[in-house]
Amino acid sequence: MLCERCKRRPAINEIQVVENGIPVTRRLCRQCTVELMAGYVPAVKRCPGCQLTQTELAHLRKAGCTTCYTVFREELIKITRQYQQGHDEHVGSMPDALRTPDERIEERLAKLAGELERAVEQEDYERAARLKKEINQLKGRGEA
Amino acid sequence: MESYLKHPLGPKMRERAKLDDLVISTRIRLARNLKDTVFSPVLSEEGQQQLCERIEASLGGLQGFEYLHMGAYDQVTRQALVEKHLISPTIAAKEQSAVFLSDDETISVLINEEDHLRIQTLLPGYQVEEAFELARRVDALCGESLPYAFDEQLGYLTTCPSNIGTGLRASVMLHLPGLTLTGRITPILKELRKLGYTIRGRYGEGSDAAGRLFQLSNQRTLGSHETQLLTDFMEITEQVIQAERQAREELLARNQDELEDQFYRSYGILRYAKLLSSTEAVERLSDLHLASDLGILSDWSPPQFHELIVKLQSGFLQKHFGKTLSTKERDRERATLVRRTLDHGLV
Repeated sequence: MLCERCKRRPAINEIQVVENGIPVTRRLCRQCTVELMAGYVPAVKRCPGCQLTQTELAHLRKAGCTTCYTVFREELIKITRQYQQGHDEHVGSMPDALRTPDERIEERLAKLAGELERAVEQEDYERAARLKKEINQLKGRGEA
Repeated sequence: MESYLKHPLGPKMRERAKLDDLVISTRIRLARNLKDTVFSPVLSEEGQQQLCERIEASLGGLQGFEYLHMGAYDQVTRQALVEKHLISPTIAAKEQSAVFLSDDETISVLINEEDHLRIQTLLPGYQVEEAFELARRVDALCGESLPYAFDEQLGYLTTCPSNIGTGLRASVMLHLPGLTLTGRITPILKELRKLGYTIRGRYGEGSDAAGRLFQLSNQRTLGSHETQLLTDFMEITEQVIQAERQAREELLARNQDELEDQFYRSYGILRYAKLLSSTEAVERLSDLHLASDLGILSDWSPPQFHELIVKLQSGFLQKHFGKTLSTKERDRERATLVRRTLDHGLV
C-alpha cells in the first residue's frame, strides 16, 4: 500500500501520531517517517537507515547503522553506559576529516613549536630557521 | 599468502623486545565503521563483498601491504593466520571478509569484522605506546579516503557500544607462571575484573589457563582520551608484571628443589613423549620457559617459546606437514616436532 502522507512511495512503517489530541495510526514510507519522526510516536519504531526495529535492537544490544544512533539514541546511550562503566561522553580524538582548518593549523603549530625547540637544543640553526619560517607562514594564514 | 605461513612468527615478532621474558606481545586495536554503509548485523553477503571491494580500491595503493580475501583460502590456512594473531576468528569464519596485511606482519586492517574496519597492530614484548602510534598512523591514512561514522557526543560509532568512543582496545599477552604456581593469580584476576579490565587465559579459561598465558585488555573505550586509557592500562600491566616478578623470586627462594624437579619432569615429557596435546605442550613449554628465566635452564630463550607455541597449534601444524591431520595424528606430529626441537635447542 502507498504512504498515507505522500501517496507516492510504498508504506513501510505503521506509526502513531497525535492529531488534534487524538492518537491516530498512519502508514508511511521511509522518507515521510524520517521527516515526521520528530512529531510522531511510532507504534513500531524502525530505523530508516537499516530497517532495524526497536525490538531487534533491544535483543541484539547492537546498532545496525549510523542512523540507529540517532533514531534509538536513548536506548543505545543506556546500553553504552552499561558497557562503559557509566560513561557516555567521548573525550578522545576525532577523524582528521571532521576537524576544522583552524584546529588542524593549531595542531600543526604545536608540533612545529616542539620541533623548533629540539632544533635549537641541538644547535641545528639552519633547520630552526626553516621551521620558524613555516610557523610564521601558518600563523599568517590562520589570521587571514 | 605463502610468505605469512612460512614462519610461526613474523619478522618483527622474532626480534627481542622490552620485557619479552614476561610480555609475549602487545596488541592495539581500533574499531571503525563507515557512516554510509549499514553495520555487520544487517549487512548482506553482497554488501560485505562490496565493502571488501571498496576498501581494497581505496587502500590498494598502500606500499608494503598485501590484500588477502578470505574466500580464496581454506579453513586450515585461515586458522594458521588466527594462531599468529594476524586475523580474528570472526574474519576466518566469513567468506566475504579480508585483511590488508603488512609485510612485516605488524599491521592488519581487518575488513568485515564486527565493525567494518578493525585496525590492529601487533608488536613483540611490551610496546603499548609504539603499537598505538603505529595504529594511529594507519587510522589517519584510512580516514583520508573512507568516511568514518563519528558522533560528537559518542565518538567513533561501533556496532556494539562496548567498543564505542575511541574504539581502542589495548592488550598484552602475559606469561604468568609465578602467580599461577603460588596461587596468587585467582585474587589478582578478580581484582583486575573489578577494576574494569578483561583477563583471559590465552588457551583455556580462568586461572587454569594452559601455559599460564593470559591476555590482559582494557574494557572501557569511552570517557577518557586515548592517551589516558593507555596510561591507565600500562599502570595496571606494570603492577601485574611486578607481582609476577615478586612471585618468581619467592618461588625460587622457597621451593627450588620442587621447582627443579618440575622443570626436569616437563623436560623429560617433552623430550620423550610420543603423543602431545596442544594444551600439554604449551604447559610443559611454559615450565621450561620459566626455568630459563630463573636461570635453571640457561639454553632456552623466550623467542623460541613463543615460536613453538604458535607452531604447535593445530592450524600451523597442519600447514607445516602440508596435509589435514586427525587429532591423534596432530598429537603425534606435535610430539615429534617438539622432540626434534629439543634435540637441537637444548643440551
